Amino acid sequence: MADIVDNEENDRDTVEPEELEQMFSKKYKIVTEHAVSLLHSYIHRLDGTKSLNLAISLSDNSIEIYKLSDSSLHQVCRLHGHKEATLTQVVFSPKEDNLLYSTGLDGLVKLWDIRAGGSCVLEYKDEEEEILRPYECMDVSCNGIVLCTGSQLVDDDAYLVFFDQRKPKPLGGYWNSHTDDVTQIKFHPTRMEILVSGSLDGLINVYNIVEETEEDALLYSLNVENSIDTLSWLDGEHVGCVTQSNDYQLWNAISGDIVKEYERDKVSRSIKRSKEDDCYLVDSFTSAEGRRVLLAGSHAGSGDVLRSVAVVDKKLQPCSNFKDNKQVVRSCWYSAQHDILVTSGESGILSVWGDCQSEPEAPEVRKLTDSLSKLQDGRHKPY
Amino acid sequence: MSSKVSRDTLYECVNAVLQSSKDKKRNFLETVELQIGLKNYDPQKDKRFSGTVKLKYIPRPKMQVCVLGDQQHCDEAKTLNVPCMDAEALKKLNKNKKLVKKLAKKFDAFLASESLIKQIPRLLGPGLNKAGKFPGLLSHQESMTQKIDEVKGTIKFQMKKVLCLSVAVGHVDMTPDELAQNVHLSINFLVSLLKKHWQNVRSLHMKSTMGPPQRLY
Repeated sequence: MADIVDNEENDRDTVEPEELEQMFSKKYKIVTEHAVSLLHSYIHRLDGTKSLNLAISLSDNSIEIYKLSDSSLHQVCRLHGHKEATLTQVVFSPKEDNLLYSTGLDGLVKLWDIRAGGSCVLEYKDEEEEILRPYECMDVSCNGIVLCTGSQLVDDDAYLVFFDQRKPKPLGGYWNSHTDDVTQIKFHPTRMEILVSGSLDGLINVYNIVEETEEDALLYSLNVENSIDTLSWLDGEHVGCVTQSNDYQLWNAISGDIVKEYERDKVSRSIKRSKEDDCYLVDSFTSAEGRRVLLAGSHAGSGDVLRSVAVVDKKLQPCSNFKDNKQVVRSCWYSAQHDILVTSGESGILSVWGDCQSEPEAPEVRKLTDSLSKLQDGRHKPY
Repeated sequence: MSSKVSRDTLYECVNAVLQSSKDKKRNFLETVELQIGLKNYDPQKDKRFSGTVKLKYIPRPKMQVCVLGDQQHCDEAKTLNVPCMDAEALKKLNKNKKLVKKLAKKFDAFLASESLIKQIPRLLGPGLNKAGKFPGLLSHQESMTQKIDEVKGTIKFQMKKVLCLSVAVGHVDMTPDELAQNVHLSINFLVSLLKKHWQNVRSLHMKSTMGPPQRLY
């Protein structure tokens, strides 16, 4: 057996630049970009609405709201709500583009109205004051009525807590189907009764929340056998799962079957990078063309390598190379309606990517707004 | 390629751990764990991580795995002398919480056939979930003994709020080679999950349950 060594090999492209250009044939370019903070804040989470309102949560516990219009980002407001505790998620109401929910390790859910400077309209809180349940994640049902939060492990129980959007006290909860922090909650995109949850315990649970008890509600437990980082519904049946070891799994949550597993080395090869250990996965979504797309990048260097691959016939095929990316990306949000991808990450940059073909005149627009905002806003990071 | 833990250091530590447990025999089989201290890591900002790694040599030999099988798997399990249950046997538990709990307690892990795994929540409720023992998938394409060894050889690790983590990588009845290989594999896997790899590693120690720690790095 050999020594344990530091593999200092540099991560690099496995194909020539011209070939790369050809392979990653769907081109995106930066429509607009905004450096949120100079205080070394990470952007942890991101969400958006049909009308292109964007909400981001920062590592300094603040929330910022932007509006994307005329190919540029306008700040709507900045919200502070979860003091001391870490803000863990922001999510817009699927029914009203001006309503935003946030949750955190302080065990609170807050509802914000982002109009008129932004204010907290309602605070949702658990009844039992003595037990604090730090929430890792939350989601809102497609009809905008039911909220569900996922908690960390508290006294050997990990909770899913349900709220009626109109009432500050919870409706009830589940605590028998996960044995570790619940890291993801995702309601079905069109059926309000179907919910998936993912946890560090390695299970994705599928529930029908209309059933009265947890026992009856639990439809399937999908054993990922690795801690779950991100879950996303890709259509009415399929859920894409990114694990904390940077593997990807595709499941049919309605039938309870795994479609395919893609391990980290496979993803690394498919984005044409040489070093598996530097490869990271962001999230998956369904593109405007109806393809299932997985976003992945490399930690190497400044973390500027960001690419996407499409799942075609269970194989990963090159899709896009996000050439001007400047950071390690933490979250993404995709609008199939506009074919716009928004990314945010560890350098505190919010980037909006648009299809190259559809807006040929955009580069000039970008330059103009960039210099304008530099003039107006001293905080803008000059790259 | 710079060497971080030389072969010699690794064997020195492995032998020291094994020797100290021989010097003072305990009344149980001591586990050997690997402890990793991290640096340049901000738990507020950087991603927490946890996951599983499959080791070559089984760290918990006494682990009991039960197969929840279809006809074919149950027949196979019986010839291999592996505990098993079929759908009928599970139905008899009648979602009774106490009985499911008892079943979960009796075994360390479960494997289930494709046709059965989807029915587990219907048949047993969340009882196995609650015990942290929801079955893994056993397909007809893979060998049952190999899959059972895989389950036994899989260890979990978790980095939460503190800048260190530890994993059980073996036991004191292993040969130095077996233990060294498990340590080797675990270190390489954990380092691969750290964003800056070795630049995030402050220290590496290994120790048996009751023995003194040995510094690897």
